[in-house]
Amino acid sequence: MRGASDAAGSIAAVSTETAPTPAPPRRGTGSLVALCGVLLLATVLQDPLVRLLDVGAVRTAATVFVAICVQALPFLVLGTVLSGALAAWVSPAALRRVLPARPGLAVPVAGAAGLVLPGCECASVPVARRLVGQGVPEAAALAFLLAAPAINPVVLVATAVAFPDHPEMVGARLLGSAATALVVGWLWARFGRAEWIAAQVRRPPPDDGTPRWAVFTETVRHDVVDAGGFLVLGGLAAAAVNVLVPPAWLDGLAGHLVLAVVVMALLAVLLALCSEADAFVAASLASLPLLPRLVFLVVGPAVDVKLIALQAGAFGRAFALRFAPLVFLVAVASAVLAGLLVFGGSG
Amino acid sequence: MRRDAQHVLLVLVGGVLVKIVLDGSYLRYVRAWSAAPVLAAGVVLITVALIALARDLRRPTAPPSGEDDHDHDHGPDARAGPAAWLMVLPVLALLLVVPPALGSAALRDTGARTAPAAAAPADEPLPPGDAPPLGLLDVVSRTAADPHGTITERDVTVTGFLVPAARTPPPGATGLDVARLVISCCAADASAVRLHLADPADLLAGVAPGGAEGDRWVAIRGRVVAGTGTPADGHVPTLSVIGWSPVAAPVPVYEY
Repeated sequence: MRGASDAAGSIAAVSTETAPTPAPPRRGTGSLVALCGVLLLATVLQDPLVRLLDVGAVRTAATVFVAICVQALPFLVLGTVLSGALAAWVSPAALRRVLPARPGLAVPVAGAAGLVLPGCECASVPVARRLVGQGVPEAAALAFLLAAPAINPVVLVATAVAFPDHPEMVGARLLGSAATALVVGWLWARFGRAEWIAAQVRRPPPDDGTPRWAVFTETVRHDVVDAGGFLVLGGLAAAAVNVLVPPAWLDGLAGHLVLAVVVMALLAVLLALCSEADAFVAASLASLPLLPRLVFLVVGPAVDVKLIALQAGAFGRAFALRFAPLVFLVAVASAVLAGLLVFGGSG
Repeated sequence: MRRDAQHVLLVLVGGVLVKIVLDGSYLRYVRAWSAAPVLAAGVVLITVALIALARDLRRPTAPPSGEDDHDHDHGPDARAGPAAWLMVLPVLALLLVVPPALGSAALRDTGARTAPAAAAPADEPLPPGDAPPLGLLDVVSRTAADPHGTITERDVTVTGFLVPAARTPPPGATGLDVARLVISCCAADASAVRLHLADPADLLAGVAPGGAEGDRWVAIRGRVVAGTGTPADGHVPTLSVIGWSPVAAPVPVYEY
């Protein structure tokens, strides 16, 4: 899709592998007609639509859904702009010079890069995908994917502001999230298989004389189209959970530490809050001990419904099916260990 | 989804992002600082879509749209194809429906989380003047820091919407709360802050909270009852009402 000539070339390559008879190139406007039809139908049905969305909890869910989309789209666009810049101006050779050749060493270096990139999780998915495309070891790109939204300065400052009485929460969060990124990266370097990541991720941008700025804009455009739908899907899921999970459930958890850890970990996955906001939500759940709230903060930026949808779009379903459970387990374990280490018995 | 339809969709997505910033409705969903990022994202989307459209049009020999029908660039299972259609949803929601800001209905439906009490500096002196306007979160933070502090010695003015008290109100308070939603990033993380209302002069007799027709926004002049807003009452201080008036919903509608 990066320019018509490349698209034609890739069609030939793909169809010889997968389809016995390559489909003849068609020139139609079916999608455009369908899009116009959807818009026209929705305009005609505007009044029933507005009434349908104006009922009790549906109205709240609609607002939350739009809020997640409006909040996350700028970060997604930022991520695709970085991805486009990587594709256009940073050659795979330059990246190889910066990163250590051994994946075991590249993982901590890529994780540390996450420390300085203040983006939320939506921004890091397209960047990590592009890093893999530019030949960075997958384990290192995944460590960056996990570290960037969790331990950047904005998130750590937000955590400190949200927990003024418990400054140790910042250190515990940093420790738990960094451990999650490193352990997942090393596990992937040791046990990960190349075929789990969809093949087209690794195809470098074409070198067919397309000017750099055109490679840049086309990569941005292409990545947004690729990821945007999945972002919307994650937003729908998170909005539904936001309305359906009564917070009263949480009040009963105060005395049950293990249950509280499990519930808060699942809640972090389902609510899909922005990593810059989750500390304030965790701080508001004051009836719970610190440890389950730390688990919420470490799991949330690493794996949630919005991220799973984005990762399935970027790296393929086979990847998301393996990566999400792995990250979930490692993040819960890292958070519990970091909590026991930092809070001691007081957590 | 074909390439030409993708261009149109991206222009639409970018267009609604620009639109909600220009008409101010973005404040229903995100904080004020998001104006610049949302606007920039909209402009970027429109620009890259128009550039791609122009480049496609200048290359008439190779069919620009037909090739991507099954999104071959994304491997044989064509995952990105159908999912891209979902981007129509926020476009339709923002063009046709424009969901309202969260309000008292959200408190009923979701029982929004209670805001953290100590998120704002509580030891600054109160603003000068007669009955200075304070945010509800500010009042709650100050009483949490010192339930007998200067906040209980002066009149203040607060703005919020009326809701029924969530739990049994303390002695002396009516069953009415004044509430406001606090967001830290977007409306998905909204939390409620409340003050119980005590009404010794019977000023609120017969006043009902807003219902299906919308929130009932009020500005209330009053004084915080000393000793309230502690962990014992769940950090919900009691405000003794001295006067009140109906007001329009403030802009921005949320506290930060």
